[in-house]
Amino acid sequence: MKNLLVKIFILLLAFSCKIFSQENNSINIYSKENILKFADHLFCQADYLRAVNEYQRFLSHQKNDTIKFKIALANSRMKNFDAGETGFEELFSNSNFSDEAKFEFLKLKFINNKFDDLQNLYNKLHFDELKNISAKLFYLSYLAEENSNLPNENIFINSFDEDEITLIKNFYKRKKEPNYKSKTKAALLSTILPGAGKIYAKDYGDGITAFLLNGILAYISYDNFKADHKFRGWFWGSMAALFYAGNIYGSAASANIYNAKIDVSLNSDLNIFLKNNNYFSPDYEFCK
Amino acid sequence: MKNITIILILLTGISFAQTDFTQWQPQKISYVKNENSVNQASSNSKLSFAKDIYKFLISDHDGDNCPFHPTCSQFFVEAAGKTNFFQGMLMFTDRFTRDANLYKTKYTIHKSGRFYDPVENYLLQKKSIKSNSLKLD
Repeated sequence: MKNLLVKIFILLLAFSCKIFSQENNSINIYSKENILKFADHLFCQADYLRAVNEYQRFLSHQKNDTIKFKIALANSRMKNFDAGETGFEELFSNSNFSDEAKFEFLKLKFINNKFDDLQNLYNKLHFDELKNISAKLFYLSYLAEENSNLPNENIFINSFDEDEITLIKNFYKRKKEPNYKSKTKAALLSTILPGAGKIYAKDYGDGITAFLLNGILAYISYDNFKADHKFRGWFWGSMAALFYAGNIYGSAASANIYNAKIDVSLNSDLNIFLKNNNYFSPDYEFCK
Repeated sequence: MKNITIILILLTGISFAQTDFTQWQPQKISYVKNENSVNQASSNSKLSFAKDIYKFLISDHDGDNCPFHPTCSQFFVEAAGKTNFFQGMLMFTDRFTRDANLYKTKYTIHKSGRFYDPVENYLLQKKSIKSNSLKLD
């Protein structure tokens, strides 16, 4: 009996604790302050999709430019380009975040490979504070853009900080004077000597293989003609001619691939540089 | 005449053996849509005869040994489909030469585990080159 009473007492104690914890109404989790706290927490955890929802819930209570900027920033970090651009555009005028919004807008254009838009917009926009970093993005867009007319080297280089200049000069030189191989020259070289065009395009293994293959096929053909096996001679001769022509074509293709590698390599190095510098973005100190 | 009869008998024997062999293999079903299915369909109708002969005389006996993706026969079909028969033939012979090179170091690896060497890289247009197939130094 005593044991039973003790058990009932313990159970009642446990239930009462639970009831108290559940019915504690002193915190209103849907107050705008708590919504903002939760949204900030999600934003700093890089849970941008849910952060945007919470920020929008907050905006229904109170208009706030910082929150609007954070929503646009969250959208841009999710690469939700349209929503991000629209969000930043809203803050271009009459906002404390005007310069930041303009810069982030340009950055979004860069990430989205819309270099023409970026260059046109940069020339139209007026910056108060972030002109310097926006200019860096503007000039680098010429390096990333295909077939662009590079601006004057001095103006280009002087837009960057001292510690960046060596690297930027290197990028500029690689864009201005790319070490391309001529497709025509590669084809001509292979016409003179099979495989030579491939070696010119630095495909050494393929060049040597092409030379040997063409040589073997031509020799088989010659040997058959010599032994008066005319059909076999013509057959292997045709094969040699086909492979000879294929090698000329392939040499031009090799030079083309070599040139594409130069472009891809520059873009890859440029992307690494930009990512290491976080696209020159200022520290907004939203997640201290 | 006797030789021709023997060759014909041998060829029929091989074709039967191949058909039987394929029939009893466990078949893996793939639900992945083939990205080149449309191109293949159009070019297959034009080149099906050449491709079938190549498969019958070479691929079936040599086995699935092509180190590239797409395979050489598929490369030819795609190349001829994307350009024309003559240019496709040039691209194919060039691919054949690259296949003969034992020292293959310039290719990235395709998800199929083979060297990735797409037709688009050989159309002589820089824009069409697939950057994920380029191995940077």
